[in-house]
Amino acid sequence: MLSAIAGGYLRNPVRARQVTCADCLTPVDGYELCFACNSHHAREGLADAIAFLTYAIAGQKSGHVMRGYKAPAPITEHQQVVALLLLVALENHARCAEALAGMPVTHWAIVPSLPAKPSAHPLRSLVAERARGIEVPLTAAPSAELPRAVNADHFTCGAQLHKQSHVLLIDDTWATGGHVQSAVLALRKAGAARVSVLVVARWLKEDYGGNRKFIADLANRDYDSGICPWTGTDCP
Amino acid sequence: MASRAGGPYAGVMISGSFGEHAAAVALLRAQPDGLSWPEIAAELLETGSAAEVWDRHAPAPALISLPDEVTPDSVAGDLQSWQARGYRLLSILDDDYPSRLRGVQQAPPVVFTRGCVIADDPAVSVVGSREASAGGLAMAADVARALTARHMTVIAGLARGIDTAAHRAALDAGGRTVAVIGTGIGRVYPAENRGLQEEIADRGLVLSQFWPDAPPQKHTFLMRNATMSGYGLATAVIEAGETSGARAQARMAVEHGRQVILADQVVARNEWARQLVGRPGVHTANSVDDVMDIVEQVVAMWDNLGRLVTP
Repeated sequence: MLSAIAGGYLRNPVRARQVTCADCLTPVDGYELCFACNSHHAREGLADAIAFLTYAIAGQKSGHVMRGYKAPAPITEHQQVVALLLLVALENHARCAEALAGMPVTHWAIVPSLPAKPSAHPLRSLVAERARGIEVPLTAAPSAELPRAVNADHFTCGAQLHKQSHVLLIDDTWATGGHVQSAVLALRKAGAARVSVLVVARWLKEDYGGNRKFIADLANRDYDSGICPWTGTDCP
Repeated sequence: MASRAGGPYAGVMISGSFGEHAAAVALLRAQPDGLSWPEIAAELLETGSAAEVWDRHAPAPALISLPDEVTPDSVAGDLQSWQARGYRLLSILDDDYPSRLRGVQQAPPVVFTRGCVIADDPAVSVVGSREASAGGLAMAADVARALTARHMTVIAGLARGIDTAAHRAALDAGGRTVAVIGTGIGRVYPAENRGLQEEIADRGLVLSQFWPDAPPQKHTFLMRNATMSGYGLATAVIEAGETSGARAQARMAVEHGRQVILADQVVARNEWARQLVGRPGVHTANSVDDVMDIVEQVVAMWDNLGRLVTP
């Protein structure tokens, strides 16, 4: 069903060394990591594994969906597509994060909006029904001077985690990765042994670096929900 | 919204939905900060308020008010004259704006309508060549009647040939049809379809995404096809050649996550159609029954999704 309603515009992220960033799967020109991820790596304790379900391309339908699902008046079709993407990933590939880690997922968390917003995160109810383990509540700081910087103080974790804890941390859109990695660090501070990150969409803009050609080459690569978001090929 | 006093319509209350519409029209006219129409549509959705987007981008008012300065106040007269001519303006933020259309990236920031607007309109485009064969015209009419019998709306583009056959058959069967036109709502193209356009305005819906007096142009027809694809659940291509708007609409429908139903003749005769076969949501049909079976599957699929995912 996901293919029939969205396969024409969702795009499986490409995992290829020195073609895309090893962390965030944005196009790179011969490097292992993109500029942003490379600068994040000055920090210890970043995500252990990162999965992406699709690229979201600014100006195309995939970008429209990732904005529209959380618009002030959310677009129903977009909510349904995002929900279905997550549902497929949680049902078919949650175990892949466990296989990669060699330990079961014990907790889940959602990266909150930064600065904090009063309303519930649009992904929360979707995930709450389907994720394994117990929720780790994360709270965003009321303000952040550099919201895109990696800074554990951007989020506070409302629980203390045990030594065998493996958190599945979920976010909707990755632009620079600052939010997600800050949330990972906050979970580490709370004691998380392992953090696997599941991101719905890697945001891509045409007018950046070599993205235009990369995006053009994706034009006919229709979405395959059988591809494992953790490995880019078969499930581990 | 912030009303700028002193304009020619300063006595008109610029607030509520009128104020929202005035702000949307002013944004599209003035295009402050070089915003394109799709960018304006995206910002409207993101903020939920045209007045807010206007306030965010509005050019600083000139010291001496210029006669051609575009503001929400200055467009109020246009809004009133459109209303007087019987054109309804809908912004992408209005509850009545076609709900599926809002989901595609080319969703027009505003549309003009005549007739009956139904936000959740279960609709299928029936499209194809202007120079259609007798067999093609008959199939278009049969599909339109079958959709009507299923209480679904027939979308077409008011063009000669397949479009006209589909509109005509839906009307004659007492069904609902929507004409998405490639001109402003105050114009007709082709001229021979003036009577048909009036009839659809009376009994269905005529919808245009252009300024009311906009002439037909090549690019307006392509934009119109994107709107048709977005409005409906599926696009059925009945008969088409290598260079038709139907071809463009089928490609856009795949990129929109909409279903495409290609009549087998279309596949047999066109390389572009063979290349589409196998892509997500693309189906082939060799009879009206085939078309309707696919339509039933599409309706069931969205019903299931609605149950699976309660937003």
